[in-house]
Amino acid sequence: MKEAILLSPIFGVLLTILSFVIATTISRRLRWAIANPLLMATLISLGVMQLLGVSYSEYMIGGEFLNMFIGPSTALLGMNIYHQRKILGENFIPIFAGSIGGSICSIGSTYILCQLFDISNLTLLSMLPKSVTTAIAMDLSTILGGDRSITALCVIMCGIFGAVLNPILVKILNIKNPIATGVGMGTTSHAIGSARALEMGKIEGAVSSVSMCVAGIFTVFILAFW
Amino acid sequence: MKILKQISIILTVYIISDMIVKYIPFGIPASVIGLLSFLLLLKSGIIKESAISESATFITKNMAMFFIPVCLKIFEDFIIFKDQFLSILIIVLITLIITFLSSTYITILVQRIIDRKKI
Repeated sequence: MKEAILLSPIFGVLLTILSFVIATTISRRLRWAIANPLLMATLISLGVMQLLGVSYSEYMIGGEFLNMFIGPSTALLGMNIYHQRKILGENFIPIFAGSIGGSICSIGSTYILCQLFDISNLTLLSMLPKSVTTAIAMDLSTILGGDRSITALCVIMCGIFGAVLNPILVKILNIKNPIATGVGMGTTSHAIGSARALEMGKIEGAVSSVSMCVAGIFTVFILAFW
Repeated sequence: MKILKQISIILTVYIISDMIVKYIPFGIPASVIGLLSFLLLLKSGIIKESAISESATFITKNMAMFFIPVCLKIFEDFIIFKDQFLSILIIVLITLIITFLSSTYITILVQRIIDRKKI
């Protein structure tokens, strides 16, 4: 029975889609920032997997199919940038400055905190590129001599926690500037942040996508000369 | 048929971006090259927006879903990195807040400086 249903590639796909549908429905009802669709959907999937005794690698037989679409969906953010090109052009310098300033603060604060927490050099090097999109971060980690799996873990944590925490910060600090919010989302939380920013608004989504690219490319330049 | 045509165009652009990545020396991923490609192709009119619009909107609207598999990996990795997990988590959370605040307020600050110059 288990083999027939749970090890079918369809299981991973179905579980992911169903979890996302349920999480999105709950999130729309609750409207709490903490009830983030991605976070809730991940927890629902995890719960079902635990309950049915499905391991991560078994889930990934089908999960890999959806995982494959991260690249094309991120690339399609280009269409949102195209839609908002006017407002982006008008605010090009602030967006650029915010993304670069944020990247420097990300790398600097990570370095200082790792020293304070007495983190090993290997982990430090793996954590430095954590604010940028996975593919960039993993390559940088290798160049710096870090551990790719620690980097991947930190990148995803930055994405998911940013998607949950940043909108809360926006509310507490009463930031009513969609451009600044977008820059914050994209610089801290790359594509996951941009997906969340797109849910907040079209301008936020487009700005976040631009910031993700600027921060990513700029981080390559800083860390490549580390 | 329309949707299939749109998806074919999207995947073609992406696969070409993936090929370009292999020929550039530094680590810029296919997703970023793909994003720039879509922007250029739409802006130059080589691809009309109507040629990808419905599918592209559907995919980007539900984009968060594609990250569920990698997010599940955090829990898988938790067991491997158990000893370091707590300190990594704390550092990630603190730097996240610092990065968000610095990037957001630098943007607001620069906007204000530019606005003031205009007046």
